[in-house]
Amino acid sequence: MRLHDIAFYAAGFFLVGVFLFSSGLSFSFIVAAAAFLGVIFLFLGSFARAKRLLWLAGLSLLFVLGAFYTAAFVRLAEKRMYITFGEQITFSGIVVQYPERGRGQRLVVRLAEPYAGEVLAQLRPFPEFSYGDKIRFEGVIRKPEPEQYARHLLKDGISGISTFPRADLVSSGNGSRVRQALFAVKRETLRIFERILPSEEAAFLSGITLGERSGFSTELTAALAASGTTHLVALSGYNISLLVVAIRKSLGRVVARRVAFFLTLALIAGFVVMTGAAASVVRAALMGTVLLLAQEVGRPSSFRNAITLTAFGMVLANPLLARFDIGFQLSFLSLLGITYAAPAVKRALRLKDDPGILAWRENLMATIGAQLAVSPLLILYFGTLPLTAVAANMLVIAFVPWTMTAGFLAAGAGMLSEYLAIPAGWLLHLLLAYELSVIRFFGQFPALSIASLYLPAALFYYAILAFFVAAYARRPARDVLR
Amino acid sequence: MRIPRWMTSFLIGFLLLDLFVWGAILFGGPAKATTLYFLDVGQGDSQFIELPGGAQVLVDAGPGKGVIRELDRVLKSTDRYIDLVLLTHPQMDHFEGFIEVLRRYRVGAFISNGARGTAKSFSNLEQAVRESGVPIVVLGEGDRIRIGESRMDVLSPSPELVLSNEPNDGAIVLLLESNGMRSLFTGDIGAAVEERIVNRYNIRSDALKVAHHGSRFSSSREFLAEVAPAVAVIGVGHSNTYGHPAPETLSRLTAAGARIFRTDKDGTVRVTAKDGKLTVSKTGKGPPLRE
Repeated sequence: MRLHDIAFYAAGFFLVGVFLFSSGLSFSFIVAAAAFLGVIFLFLGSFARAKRLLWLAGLSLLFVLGAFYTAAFVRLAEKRMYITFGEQITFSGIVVQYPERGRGQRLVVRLAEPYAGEVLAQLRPFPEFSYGDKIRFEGVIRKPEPEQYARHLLKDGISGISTFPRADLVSSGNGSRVRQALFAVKRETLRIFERILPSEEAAFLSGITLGERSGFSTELTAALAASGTTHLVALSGYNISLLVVAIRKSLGRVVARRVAFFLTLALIAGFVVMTGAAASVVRAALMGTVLLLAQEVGRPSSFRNAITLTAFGMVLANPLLARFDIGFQLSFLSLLGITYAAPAVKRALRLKDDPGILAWRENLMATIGAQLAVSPLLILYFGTLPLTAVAANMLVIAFVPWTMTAGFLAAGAGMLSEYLAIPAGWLLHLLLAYELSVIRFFGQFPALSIASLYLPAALFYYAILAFFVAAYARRPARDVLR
Repeated sequence: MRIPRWMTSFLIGFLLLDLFVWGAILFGGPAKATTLYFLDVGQGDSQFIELPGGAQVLVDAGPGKGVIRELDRVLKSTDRYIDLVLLTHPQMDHFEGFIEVLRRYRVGAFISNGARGTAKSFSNLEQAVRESGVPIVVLGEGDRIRIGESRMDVLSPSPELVLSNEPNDGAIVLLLESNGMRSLFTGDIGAAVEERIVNRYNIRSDALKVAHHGSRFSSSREFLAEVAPAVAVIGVGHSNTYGHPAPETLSRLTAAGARIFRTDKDGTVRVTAKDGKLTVSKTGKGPPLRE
């Protein structure tokens, strides 16, 4: 078996091991299952004389490795944490993430001695705290409830929540200089948007350019979910690929190719940090880098390997992502949907190859493909299925890249002079008012409520989907002649 | 010559922008009426005044950021400029909203009574004023703001009141005369300051912004008899812990013949004066304010 195939299966099995252990299966069960699988592969491999199956037998060990790695990771994290829960205490810490500012402030605080670990502090909107602020708190840290939410926070490294503690600033500037600078750029960009647009449009623009959702009203969040357009404000490959193309085009003539390559990498890294390194952004950035690298080195890039190794790399850094980060799961699934299901849809619907006005055919395929892939997960997590998703997306998606580009240009212009950004504000207002009215319109139709989804049903669905994709993957020659 | 696709998109975009600009020019004429918006900002005060000719004044901005949502409803979406913002006195439930207002809007001038606030968030306001570069104007009793045919007289505070131990007593009190309508904005003043004003000025008004969210220590019988408002509006938050507005105040207002409106029940209240007629409407409760 070739090296890149071994790598693919190894990474894949490792991921499954991580996932299964995170889902609560006991370590011994996983060892037993891996051994069982290994033996089956061994038998089949020797009977069929298939070397590949023999290899798979050996690689079954990686199920166990994945589970073990997760267990060790969690254990280590638990050892590093020391918090007194449920009591009124005085504690201090440093703000280590860009604060979320909505109706109030949400700060991620790394605790200082005598405590250890990270907690989420919920405060009034004012006085305002920033990244790098060292704060002295007086209040109660409690364990997050319910269990689902606790695990969701844990994957981000947060072990407790403190609601409206008393907070006093001790000192500023205790964070990393680089992040401080990048966050300053982000804050400036958001401020410019807020100055040239009404608050809801500014919030939406902040969402599609930087994935910043803390300023969203509950109505907007609900409308996005009901119309199936939330992904527009969850940064993904869209933004990264636009960024890469834009940078390459502008730098391409000015500097040497090698320099342009590294500069692109640096800018992507900066963008990822600036936007808070959400799972979907990191995934897109890593995949973009892998594909860029492949181009540089001159080897044909295998999509299958790129996506698996990206997932592997991310899970290595944080195994809890696989099971508990919804954004991680959705972004990978939608990418798979767009890459594999979309072409099958295209063939099934017999769409022409020409992308069409505003690339409508391309968008239709991609939207349907992504929806097919993520729907079971949406039902599982949110209990609803947005029926108007395809319509809403088709009307909005074509304009989003323009909106994003105009947004970034407005931010750039605004940093030079506020007055330059004003006309950009008018153009953005037209685009955003249109997009928001579509989202609100489709968002008012009740999404189909599906109370529960059984795991076997979901797996069955995916099996059928895989079958559909395979069926339309390659048509035999005789169909063409019909 | 075949027009390339990108040029078609560009021309369409340009045409739309053109229509938009002309629409704004033709249909966006300045107001002829005087409109007062008593904004629903929760437990706090904020009033937005639109004068004939288009000048806009924001008196107080409530706590937190609620004022932004209300301003979005009241202002045209392309209007990012407010002529004057006025802080009656530096208490949190009056000044906090200005932090976001100064960040999001271009402002002509920031008017205050000169006192410094003690709340922790006041430093955020000072920083926002500094960063915006907006000129600060300190006004007191005897000052006047004239905008076109309208004028706002400052009836209080005197220098002694600003320096007193009670921040509420130092609040700026404004009497607005515009389009034949007289409106009185009282900040958080108590009965003592009310008596002082009664003795020095003619305060008969059509609309009254009820002092201190309807507290029973304000809106005295004598004061209300002199103002004799047709419309009285109370800026108050749902289920507030102060018991505002006090039942005694409500009965005094009714006895004075005023029609009472309150932001916790009526949402943002709009009072319009045009051609000698006064119209009041409630824009209704927006989405519930969650703390």
